Amino acid sequence: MTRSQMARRTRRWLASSGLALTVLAGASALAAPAPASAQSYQATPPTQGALASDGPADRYLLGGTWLYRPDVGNVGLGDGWWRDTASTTGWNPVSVPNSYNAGQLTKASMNGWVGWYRRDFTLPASAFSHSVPQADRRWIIQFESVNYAATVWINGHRLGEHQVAYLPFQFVLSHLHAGVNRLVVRVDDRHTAGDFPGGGAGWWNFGGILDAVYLRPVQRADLDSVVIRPELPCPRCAATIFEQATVRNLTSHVQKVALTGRYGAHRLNFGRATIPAGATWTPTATVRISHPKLWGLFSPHLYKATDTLSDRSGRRLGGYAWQSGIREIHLTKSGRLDLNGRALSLRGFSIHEQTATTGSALDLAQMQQLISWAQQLGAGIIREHYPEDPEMEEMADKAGILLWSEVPAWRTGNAQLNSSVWRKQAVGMLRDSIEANQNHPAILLWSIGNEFPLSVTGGQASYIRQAVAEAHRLDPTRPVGLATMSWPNIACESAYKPLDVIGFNEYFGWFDSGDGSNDDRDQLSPYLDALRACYPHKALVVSEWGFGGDRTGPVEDRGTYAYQVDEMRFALGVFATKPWLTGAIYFPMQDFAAKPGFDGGDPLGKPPIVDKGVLDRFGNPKPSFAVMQSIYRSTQQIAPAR
Amino acid sequence: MVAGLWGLAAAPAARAAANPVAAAGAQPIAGPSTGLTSLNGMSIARDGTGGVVFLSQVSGAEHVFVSRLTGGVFGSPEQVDTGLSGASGQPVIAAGNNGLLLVGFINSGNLYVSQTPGASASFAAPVKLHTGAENPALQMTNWGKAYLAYTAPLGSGHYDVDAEYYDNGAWQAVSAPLNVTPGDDAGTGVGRPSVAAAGDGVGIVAWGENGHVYARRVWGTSPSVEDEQLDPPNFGGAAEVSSGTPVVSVGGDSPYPDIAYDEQLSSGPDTWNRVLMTRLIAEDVGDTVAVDNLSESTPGNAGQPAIAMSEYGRGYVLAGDDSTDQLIGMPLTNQGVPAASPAPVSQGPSTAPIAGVPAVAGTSAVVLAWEQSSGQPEVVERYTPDGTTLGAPQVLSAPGAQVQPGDGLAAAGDNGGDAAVAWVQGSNGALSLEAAQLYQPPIAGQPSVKSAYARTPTPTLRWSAGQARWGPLRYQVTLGGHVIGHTSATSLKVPEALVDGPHTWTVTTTNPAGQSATGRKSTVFVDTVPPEVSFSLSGRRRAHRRLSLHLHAVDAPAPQPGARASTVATVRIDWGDGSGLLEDSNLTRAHHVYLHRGGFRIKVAVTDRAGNRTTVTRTLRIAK
Repeated sequence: MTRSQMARRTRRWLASSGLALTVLAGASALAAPAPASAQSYQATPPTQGALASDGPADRYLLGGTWLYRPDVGNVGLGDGWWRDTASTTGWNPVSVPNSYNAGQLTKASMNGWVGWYRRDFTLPASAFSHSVPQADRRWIIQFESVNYAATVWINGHRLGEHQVAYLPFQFVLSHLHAGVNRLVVRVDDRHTAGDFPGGGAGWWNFGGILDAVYLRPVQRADLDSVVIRPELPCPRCAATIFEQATVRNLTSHVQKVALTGRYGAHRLNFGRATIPAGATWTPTATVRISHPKLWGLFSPHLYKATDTLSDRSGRRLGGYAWQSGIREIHLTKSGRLDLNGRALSLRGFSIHEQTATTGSALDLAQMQQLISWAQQLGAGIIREHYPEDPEMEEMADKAGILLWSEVPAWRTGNAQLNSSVWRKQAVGMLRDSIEANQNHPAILLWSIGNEFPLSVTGGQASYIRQAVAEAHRLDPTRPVGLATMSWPNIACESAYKPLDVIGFNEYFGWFDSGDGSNDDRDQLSPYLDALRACYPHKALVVSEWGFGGDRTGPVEDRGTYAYQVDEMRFALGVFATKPWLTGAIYFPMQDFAAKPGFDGGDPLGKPPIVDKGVLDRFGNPKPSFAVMQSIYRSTQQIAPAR
Repeated sequence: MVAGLWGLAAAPAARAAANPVAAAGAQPIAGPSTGLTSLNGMSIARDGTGGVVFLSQVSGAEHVFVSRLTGGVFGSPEQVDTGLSGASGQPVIAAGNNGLLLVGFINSGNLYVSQTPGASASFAAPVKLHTGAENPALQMTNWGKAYLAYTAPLGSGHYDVDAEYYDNGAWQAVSAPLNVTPGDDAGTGVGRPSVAAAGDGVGIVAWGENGHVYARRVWGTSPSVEDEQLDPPNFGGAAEVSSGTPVVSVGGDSPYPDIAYDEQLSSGPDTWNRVLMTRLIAEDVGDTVAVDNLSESTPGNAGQPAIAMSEYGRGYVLAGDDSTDQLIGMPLTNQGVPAASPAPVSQGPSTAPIAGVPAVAGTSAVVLAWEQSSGQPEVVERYTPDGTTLGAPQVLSAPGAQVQPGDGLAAAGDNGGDAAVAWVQGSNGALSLEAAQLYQPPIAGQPSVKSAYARTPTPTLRWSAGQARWGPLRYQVTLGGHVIGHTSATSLKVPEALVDGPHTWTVTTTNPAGQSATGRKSTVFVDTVPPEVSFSLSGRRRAHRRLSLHLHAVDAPAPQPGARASTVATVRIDWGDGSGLLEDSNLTRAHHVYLHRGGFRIKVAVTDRAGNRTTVTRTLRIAK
């Protein structure tokens, strides 16, 4: 995408009503106080600060005590649970983030239900500058992730709705008043086949408000997001930092503003603008850095990027901050991914953001634990089936671990792929993810999905074309990939031509697939060679491989620790003989709950737990942990600098 | 998603096997001869290659012979124990793709193997694997690895069950005996070993020892540290007396083998024999079920367990009900789980206990064969394309064939749904080895192009080869509604001259069973006559002046009733001055300006769609 294209592009509003839109994420860890009882529920103001340092400045974390009310019969809408009512009857205190079905591994839990959240709050007293008149003050509420469909009310007024977890959205808060304000969120985590992911996905459907909720004061104009794009033509070249901000005038008056920025010690000047009421200003600025310190695998260097919005008198109105990294990702003609001119041979893990106690609502310590395990294991890359939490992304930036960023188009069937409506929604979701996450240097690529049908229909081919084109348009600096289901005897697929990276999920010696063509692990090496012959100019990654292990026993018995270790050693030995292989990502790092009845292929598994992790569900390392750690750490995951 | 089976729902649907048709009755593989003594086994690989192994006397001693199955045709018998003196016995066979065959046998009390790497290679000279052995059992994985289990006498009534592992052309001894108690009576009598080789490369050996049935996995040359006793201490309210005759089968996943076996039970004064089946689930022993359909309140006797499982663990387990002389079967679904209760699969009266043979033919199809004696013994099969819905019984042996029930019965199938059943028939001194092949319909050969032109009245028609694991395939060509020839090649020259014009033709692919499939229609347009061409010029023949060419080109039909011409395809004009060619498909007039004076040769070439070309030239002089 050219800069002029970027400047012309306007943000896409997601709300069916109101002003919901995807947002860029945002510093200090704030511990949520323990829930009080509903009877003694008191409205409290949000706390200044955010869980992540990246993103808009001046955020207030809407933590504290929330209320939750299950609505299994889905009567809440009709019964007016959204109304501005002080009574807490039927409501129970919880803390947010929250999965309302955490710990419930039943079929009903997987299918989902409706749950209602409520937070009574007062507005912070000193959020606004005295110089900003009341008429030019606004509040924005921002949700980082709600699974799955959220409808939001404030003081009985409907603000709008949003669908799809793992992506942020926000609304301008109208109808606020002095004293107690009452926020109500209806969450419906029942998935249909056309959702993201469709019903019956391969990881537990934990519903709820899964990540932080923020309030953000807007003074005159909202510095909503800034694209911070370091461009590095070659590893030893000077870097150009290109930034584009989005400044929205949410008031009914003309606003005169100026925007300046810093990237490390370098200054950027976006200029000044007079923004009509309701209009958006998208200024750009660049700065050249002659001898940049590069963000590298396991050796991240981060520059502090800040942008400040001020009024015509130079008084600060708002800000934006990010820990940015300068690096170059390049697909070579020989079909490899280079990072800063050095070939990648990544080893890593897939993870699910899930714990045995809190479901998919992870606090900072739980996220940090995942990153810490990955670091201990020597992982150079982490993959999830959905965009990582912004806090996780920030941790990966700081750890120098790459991320395979994927949208949850998981095992989508042909009925959806052949639907132009579904494809449009999926491409829109990809767009939202790129817009929200693209400033993170850790993100290696954009993945447009996982395990689509092997017989590629015109619909799938069309989705691949559309999604790749859109990702390249929005972010020309990153490759685009797809994780595919794979085993021998599958013909080379011409529909994969638009892709830069093809991921192959292979389970030689574990799942019995493809008429037994992947039964015998000795066939893994020739199979990989055949893949390379099919796609000599694509970067190829084993995007999934894994073996269960949850008990002691003989090595030849599938599902024992000894078996898991033996198979891991064997597969990694094969991968090591393929110098062209850009990476191999073990699935998963930690055992997780998948779906009712599914044992993950372990003959003596314990549904719904998938036990292929090197850590059990409670964080206890299996024997395979040390084995993987030893092999991963001794693997040269990036070629030496030339 | 089926647990343990990944991606099945998303995989391209394999062509489902249909109830196959047997070829024109049974075909002799060997004999009739005075030497043939027994049929000992048949194995067919996924690709349809394989072979049968049998014993036949040479100079008064039994020797091991193999008839290879290549391209769907059983070949002439080949002796594989050449160079060994003394009689051979207990031969076993295992087939791999591309004609790979392994044959194990006992000669002079020692274990030998002979093998061929492919259909075009000879059997290698036998190699002795173990001194002192009996009761070999052999099976190969879909990926060419094999396990050969056997009983090793240690002397003084002591035995071990040992195994050899085959991979990449070489045999290696498994590192330790498999039996529970070293030097026990393992593997003798009804405890003879059975072996199954899972697609993942792990072998499972089952054997009888000290009145019990055990199984142990072997991964390469390493036996599992665990052995697993399968027979229960009691069943159906009766106490176990002893068990034996284990038969084991497994699909692609070694965690899920099923083992069927005889179980002698007693309750009070009564003693009876039943056939039971026990699943192994990884290192756990799963449920034990009865296969024999006997009533537990008034049990009779059953025996002759047999079992076969496909890649995903689907298949059948059989037992003979000695009380009713019926063959009992129980279908198995994914991972060897019983799919239904046991039920009779044989029909009609029989006067002797029935021993059945199951075989899988692809991921779901199963063929069940047995020898049924209701007067004259006959060989009968039932086939199920989906593993559960059995087709009607089909008698394979010819009337009055004198089937010899005691001399062997074997069945096997490939991965496409084809199957074969073999048996011995005839009278003493004139026995023959017979096989009936059950064919799946072929996939039709297709014309190489949808339409073509020909300049000869006897064009050669070409098509792609039909597809079938078993042939030979023959092709019938129909042109204009009339059959014009048969061939086993993939082309045919039209035998009689065709009238100019379009002719529609098809090719029908037929297999030895007479099953056929017709490809799509194609058209050949015969045009033997070149176009008629003339042209005239107008304009001043001077340099820098425009000259016009008026072309008359007609592709006239041949002077035959009903003839048609293919019409003009291209017109090419060479003005003769090096200015390049003018080429069009529908050109009747052209203009040209010569830049220089001189003599030029105009050449007009007209080609019809069949490629017939007429070229007309004229020389002209251009003045200054």
